[in-house]
Formats: sequence, C-alpha cells, structure tokens
Amino acid sequence: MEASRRDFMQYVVGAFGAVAAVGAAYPILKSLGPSAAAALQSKVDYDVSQLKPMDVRVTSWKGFPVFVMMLPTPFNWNGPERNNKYKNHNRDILGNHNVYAIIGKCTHLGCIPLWKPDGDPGVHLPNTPIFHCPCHGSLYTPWGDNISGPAPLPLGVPPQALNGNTLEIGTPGFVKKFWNPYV
Amino acid sequence: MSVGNIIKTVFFTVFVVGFFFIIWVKNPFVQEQEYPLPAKYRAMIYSDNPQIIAAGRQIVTQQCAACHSLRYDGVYPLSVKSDPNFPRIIKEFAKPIPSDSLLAPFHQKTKGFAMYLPQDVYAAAFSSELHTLKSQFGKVPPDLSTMYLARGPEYLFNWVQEPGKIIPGTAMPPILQGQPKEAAEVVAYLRAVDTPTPAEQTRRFEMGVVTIAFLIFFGIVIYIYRGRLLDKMGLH
Amino acid sequence: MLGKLANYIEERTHISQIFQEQMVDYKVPKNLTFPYAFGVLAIIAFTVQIISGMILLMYYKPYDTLAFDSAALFIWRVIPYGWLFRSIHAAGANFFLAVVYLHMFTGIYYNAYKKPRELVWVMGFIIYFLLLLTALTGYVLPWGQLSYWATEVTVEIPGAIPGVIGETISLLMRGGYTLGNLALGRFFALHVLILPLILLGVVSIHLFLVRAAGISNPDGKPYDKKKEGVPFHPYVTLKEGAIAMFYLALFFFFVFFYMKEFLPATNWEPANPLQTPAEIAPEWYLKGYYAIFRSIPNKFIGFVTFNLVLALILLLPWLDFSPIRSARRRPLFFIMYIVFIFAGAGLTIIGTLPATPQVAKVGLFFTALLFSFFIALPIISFIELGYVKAKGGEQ
Repeated sequence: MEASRRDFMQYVVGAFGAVAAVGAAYPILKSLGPSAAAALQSKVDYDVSQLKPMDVRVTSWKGFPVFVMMLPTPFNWNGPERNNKYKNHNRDILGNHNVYAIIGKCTHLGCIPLWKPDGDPGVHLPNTPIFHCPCHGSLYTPWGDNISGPAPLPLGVPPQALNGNTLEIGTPGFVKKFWNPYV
Repeated sequence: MSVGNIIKTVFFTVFVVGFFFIIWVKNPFVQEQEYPLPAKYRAMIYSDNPQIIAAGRQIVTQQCAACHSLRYDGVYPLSVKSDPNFPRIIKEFAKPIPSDSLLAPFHQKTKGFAMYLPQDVYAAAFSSELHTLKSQFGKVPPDLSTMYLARGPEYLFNWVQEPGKIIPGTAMPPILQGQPKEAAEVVAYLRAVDTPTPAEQTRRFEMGVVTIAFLIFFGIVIYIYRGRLLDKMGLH
Repeated sequence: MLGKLANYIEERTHISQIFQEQMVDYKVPKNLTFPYAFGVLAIIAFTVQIISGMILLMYYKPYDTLAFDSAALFIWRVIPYGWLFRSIHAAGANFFLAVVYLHMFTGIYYNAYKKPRELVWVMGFIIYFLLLLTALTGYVLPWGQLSYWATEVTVEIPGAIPGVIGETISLLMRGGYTLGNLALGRFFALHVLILPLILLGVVSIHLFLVRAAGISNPDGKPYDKKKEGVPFHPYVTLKEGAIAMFYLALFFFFVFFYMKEFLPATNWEPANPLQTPAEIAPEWYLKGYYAIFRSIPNKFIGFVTFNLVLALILLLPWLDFSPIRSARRRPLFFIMYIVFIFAGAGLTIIGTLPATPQVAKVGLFFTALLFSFFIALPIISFIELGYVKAKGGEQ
C-alpha cells in the first residue's frame, strides 16, 4: 500500500514536470511562428497598366517570386508539348486571360527561370517564347507548363483576380485556388 | 525552535520583504509629483470606448499632427504628409503593425494594420520637413507613440491642456486649454495605441493566474513527495 | 525501447553511478536553513535569463536608430509572446541580482567564507561583479531615455580619477566622446556573449569549489558526515525544488502583474542625447554604491570609497580571522552584522532620494556605519581569538 502510494506521487511529480516543460515550450514555439502582420503579405496588388505584350515583371507574394505576364492577343503557341497527366495544366487554369501571374520558381530545385521571349537557339527552340531554368535546363511554356528537362510539375499559379488595371494576387478571381506544386 | 530563533527568523524575513517592498513597490520616502485627474475623465480614458478613441484620434490627426508624429499608428506630421514622395515612401518602406481591434477601423485600406516607417527611413526621407519643424521649435517635436507609457494619463491630461504649467517656457502651445473633455479623448486614444485590447488583457491575466497557480501546486506536490520519500528512508 | 536506450547510455557513461556518488552519497548537514536555497535559486534565475535572452536576441537590433523600435515595437507587440519574454528578461535581471545579494548576505551571516572556503567566496565575488557588468551593459540596450542617461552617467564615473587615466577609461568604455553606435555595439557584444560566457565558466568553478570544500554548517561546528549528514538527494534537492517553484510563482506574479518597476516609464521614451530626463539614477542594485559616491563632496574620494567597499567585501575572509564560525555563536559579530545590513539597505534607499545636502549628510552617516562593520571585524576577531585561547583552544 505504502509503496504504491509513493509510486503514485512519483507519477504526479513527473506529470507536473511534463506540463511545465510543455507550458514553457508553447510560448517559445509561438514566438517563432509568423506574427499577425505576416497575413498582410498574403495579398499583393499589381498595377498592370504599364505592361506591354510579352513583358514579364517580377513581384513577390507569400515569399514566392511571382511573374506578372502580358501576352499579345491573339497569341499562338507553337512550341512542343509534353504528353503527360499535366499537359496544358496551367493553360487550362488560366483560360484565355492574357494578363496573369504565375510563380517563378522551378518545380525541380527552386531556381528562378529566365524569360526568353525570342526563344533560345541553344535549346533548339528558336522563335518560341519560353521560360528556361538556368540551373538544370527545364523549359516551360509562357503559362508555366513544363515541356522539357527535369522539372516534374508545371509552375505554381496563385489565386488571382483582374480588377480594371490591377491584378490582385492572392484574391480568388479567375483563378480561385492556389495551384501549389512546391509542397 | 527556540524563542530567539523565531525572533531572528521573523526579523530577517520582515527586513528582506520590507526592503524589496520599498525599492520595488512603494517607496514612502520619495514624494511623487501628482497631477489632478477628475474621476469623470479618468473613467473616459479607461473606458475602451471606440467613439471616444475615434474622437481622440481625430483631434490628434488634426491638431497634434501639425507638428507631432505617432508612427506606431501611422500618423505623420501634416508637412510630412503633404510631401509628394510620402505615398511612395509609405508604400515601399512602411511595415505593418498588428493594430489593436480598437484601432483597426482606422486602417481599413491596409486590412486593419497600421503602417509604420522605420525611424532611419523616416528621418532620412523627410529630413527637410523635420528640419523645418526643428528650426521652428528648437527640437523635433517628440513622437507620441509611447508617450502614454512614458508619462501616464494624469500627466498627459494636464499637459495637453496647460503645458506651460508643468514645464514653464515649453515650446508646446496650449492646444486644448480649458477643454478637459477633448483632453481626455486624446489621452484615451494614446492609451489605446499603447495598451493591448481588453480581450488580450483578459487572456494575459488568465495566463498569469494559471501559471502562478500551477507553480504553487507543483511546489506543494514536490514537497509531499519528498515527505513520503523521507518517511520511507527514515530520515525525518 | 526506452529501457534499452537507458541501458545503452548507462553502459557507456555510468551515469547512475555518478549520480549515486555525487548526489546521494554526498552528505550535507541536516540543519541547513532556508537561506541556503538562494544558491540554487540563483542558478534557476541564470537559466531563466539565458533562455529568455536567446529569444530576445533573435529580434533585437543593436543600432542606434533601430534599437528602440526593435524593443518597444517589434519585440513588445509584433512578435507573438514577445511581451512575455521581454518582461521575463527585465524582471529576471532584478530577481537574479536580488537572489545573488541574499546569497551573499547568507554567506556573510554563516561565515561561509572562512577556511577552507576562501576561494569559493572569491569566485562568488567575481560572479557578483561580472553580473553587475552584465546588468549594466544590458540596461543600455532598449535605448530609451533612462538606458541612455544612466549609462552616460556610469561611463562618466571613472572620469573622477584625476589626470588622463579617468578620461581615458571613459573614452574606452564609450568608444568616442558621445555614447552612440560604437558603445551600443560593444555593450551588446559584452551583454549577449562575452560576459555570459565568462559567467558560465566562473559559475562552474564556483560550484566545483563548493563541492571540493564542502558546504558550510549553520552552527559553525565541525560535524560527522557519516552520522549527522543526510543524502543531498532527495533530502535537499526536493526541498529546494519545492522552494524553487514557490520562487518562480512569485517571479511570475511580477512578470504578469507588476512590471512598472522593471520596465520604468522613462525608458519608454526613445533616447535623446540632447535632453536629460528630470530624474536619473542607477538601478537599485547599484544605488548603495551610488549613494556613497554622491554623499561624499569630493568626486575622487567618493570614487575611491565605493571601490573600497567592493574591495573590502572581496577581502572578508582575511578581515575576519576569528576561529569561531557562524553568527549564531558570535554575539558581537551578530550585532555588527545587523549594523551592516541596516547600512546597506539604508544606503540603497538613500540612493532613491533626490540629491540634497541633507540627504548627503544622512548618506555620510550610513557610509560610516557600513565601514564600522569592516573596521569591527578584525577587532572582534582579536577578542574571539583571545577568548578561544583562554579556553584552551576549544571552539
């Protein structure tokens, strides 16, 4: 009887100690998390009135580099395509919009692709506008669909809405859901 | 325990507790300057009433902000605000502060966040405006962001009405002379800038009570455990 | 699984054997009084400072235009729970020094500095001095008005030494003629890395020396460890563990409900090198020395006097050479001890008063009382030495 009681007290002390450790760790971990102000970065408004066709401007949304694009209308894409599950994935998401934003981060290892509006003779695609990732040579269409190289998935597409001359990145509009290949 | 020991223990305990009470809590030897603050206006300042705070913010942005800034709530002097570069500098350099819910309504455009300029950017970008203010008053009128914490409600309530009474010869004009209601509104607004929301205050209070209660119980549990252990070892 | 891991570690480290030797077989007197817990409380206060300091360090910026905002805005409001860690660190510094003072006065009361524990006392004094420096360098970091001007006054104090020496020391501390970025950066480095690192080393030596010399006895009599001793664990560890919890409860009462004294109002104004606030005084743990310095009309003599007090505290083991230990058995020493603590507390409280000629006179009186303790020690020792010899060397 006496021994079991002592054991019980030992467990109580241990339990109190565990609660103390958790209680001390909680504010420490919380202080490392994003502050309330970080929520403000989740929405970025971009003025597209100064954009010309075939222009790409870079901005930042939730820490991602974002390409704000303007394609000429009409625009004919005559480059190669890759026949897989994700064929024309981003093109379908973005529909017929000629002003849109995609995330400029290669899905292979996270480099920022280069915009080559006149194509790249070095990769045998002259006169075809492409994104070319300088790290391992992945190629993407202007909508961010991967067509060649080691990249496994199309580029990300943030939720976005076009309001007059303002492209509202982060606001659900013509793209409602964040296509996020980086998780 | 002998009587002598008890007297000694009581003496040293009272001595130590009394000493720390005097230096940390209440020092009877130091006369603190007291400023009158009628109960009616005190109640206004501590009311957390959004209307009073809104009225106070209006007075501050319209009158005090002729010279003063209040960076932690995104209020800047009028001359700075009329600088053509002001919107661009705010857009590029200002950083968000999570506002108290009481102040959030004033920052609808930035989703409830006040935007503050870091001190170095502010001083460099608007150095000509700040220089004009300096030559006018002898020094740049201080930023009001933390004034409530620094000076307290009683001082501020009297200061905004009659600054010359507190510091003779001050450059501060008696803006709200004979307007105690407006003075109380201004102080209520300054308090709102520097105090957490009522909900947050309650949360912190509860957190404190739980922490202290837990530690006391933990201490008692350890002591009981020790008693049982020593009984078993025959050490009592 | 856990048992296997424990066995694996045990086989390679013999940790339970070390625990048995160092904690259970280590015997201490059974009659240890409550004040003996202040040593453990000091270790706890040190740990609290290190943990809360590491979190503040992530967000604090040691640069004159950014320092105030990083403390008063960024840490205080933007970072989740930043307010809690800043409060813990600010209150913790005061509690740490309070506990260290109580630990020192306990040591003086029980004559814990006497042979063979002189080195324990010397190391403890070094810890105390480094701690004052750490507190002083940390005080400037929030870069408020009080931080700025209290530090400005402090670096001016060595200027009391006549000739170029004093001025040179002041210049070296400040890194120039005004207190600015250079001083802030160097105080920051001292506060967050250099001094804590040295402190950790000195504290370990202090603890090692306590073990080497053995703990003192409240009765001041030699005791038979085998018969009268009790195992350090669990007899003392659990008692002091419980006391530590009550201490932390008191500490968190101040952290959550009474930060007015530890985050003073004047320090919520950003530092302004062109305007001194109305009242300026050092923190309470320096006010005793400050009161001595202020009460003496001649600046240089004042400087020498308060440094003399520090030196005399360091030299206590040699000032007090009486063979009898512990105030419990030394009535003369007990009386002078009461005088000593009254003088110390009195000087600290005088340091809080505004500087007037009357206050300076009272300060001089208390300074004399303080020195009467140090002067009386060798006299009492002579009397007691004679008494012991007359009784034939018996203690």
